[in-house]
Amino acid sequence: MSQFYLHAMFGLGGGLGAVLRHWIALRVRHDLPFATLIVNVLGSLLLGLWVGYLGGPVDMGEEEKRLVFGFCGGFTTFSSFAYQSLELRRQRTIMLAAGNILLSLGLCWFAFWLGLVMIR
Amino acid sequence: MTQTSPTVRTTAIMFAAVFVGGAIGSLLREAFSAQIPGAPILTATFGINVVACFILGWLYAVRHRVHAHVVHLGAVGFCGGLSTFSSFVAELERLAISNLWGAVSAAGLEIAIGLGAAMLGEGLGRRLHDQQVPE
Repeated sequence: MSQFYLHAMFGLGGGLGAVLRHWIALRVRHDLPFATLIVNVLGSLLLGLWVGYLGGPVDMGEEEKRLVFGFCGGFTTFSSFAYQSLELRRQRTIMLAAGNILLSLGLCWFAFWLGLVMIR
Repeated sequence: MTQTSPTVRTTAIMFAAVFVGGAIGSLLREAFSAQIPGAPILTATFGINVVACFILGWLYAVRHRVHAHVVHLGAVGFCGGLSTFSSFVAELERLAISNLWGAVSAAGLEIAIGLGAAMLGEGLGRRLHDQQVPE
């Protein structure tokens, strides 16, 4: 398997993840950043499932692994989360910004853990 | 020749820009993650997330002055593909197995630095652009 092909799979996953994230952001129109929260929680759950699945006795090609890892990274975003938290503090209240941070961290961490234990 | 409406074309270019930006951002992250071996905290993922926050802040500072597709390519695609929340929590979970409070502290620290980077990027972007285009 050529390295180029494996990188291409990772990039393809990342691109597809970004497109799906943007599609969800256009669908979930709300003045609170729920779209980012949803993609981050779903992406963390998927990564947990994937890491847990690969931790077991599986015979999986490297290209499928890379595709899903790329997808999870492209789908979830840390930068939009950070910027939206700043915007919440500026335009709304500091409590909403703190709530967004705690909820994102808590739910995503839980989702990743849940994915891991569900598949084990 | 088929006639495509401007809206369809704009939507297609928008998603293409997001795809290309996301793919490039993901590949850059993959390249940098491989360069730096995994540390328990302040990992490569963390460093890359901070850089993405800085770039995103900068892009949002100038977003009204650039074409919408630049925002789609750079902010939504590239910064979103470069930064990741899933690997961030995956690394925290790995750290939490041996040191739960260390992981919680690392999470707080990394988020605080990410917010700081976004603020810094936004501030610098605004300042530099205002110097170039006096209003």
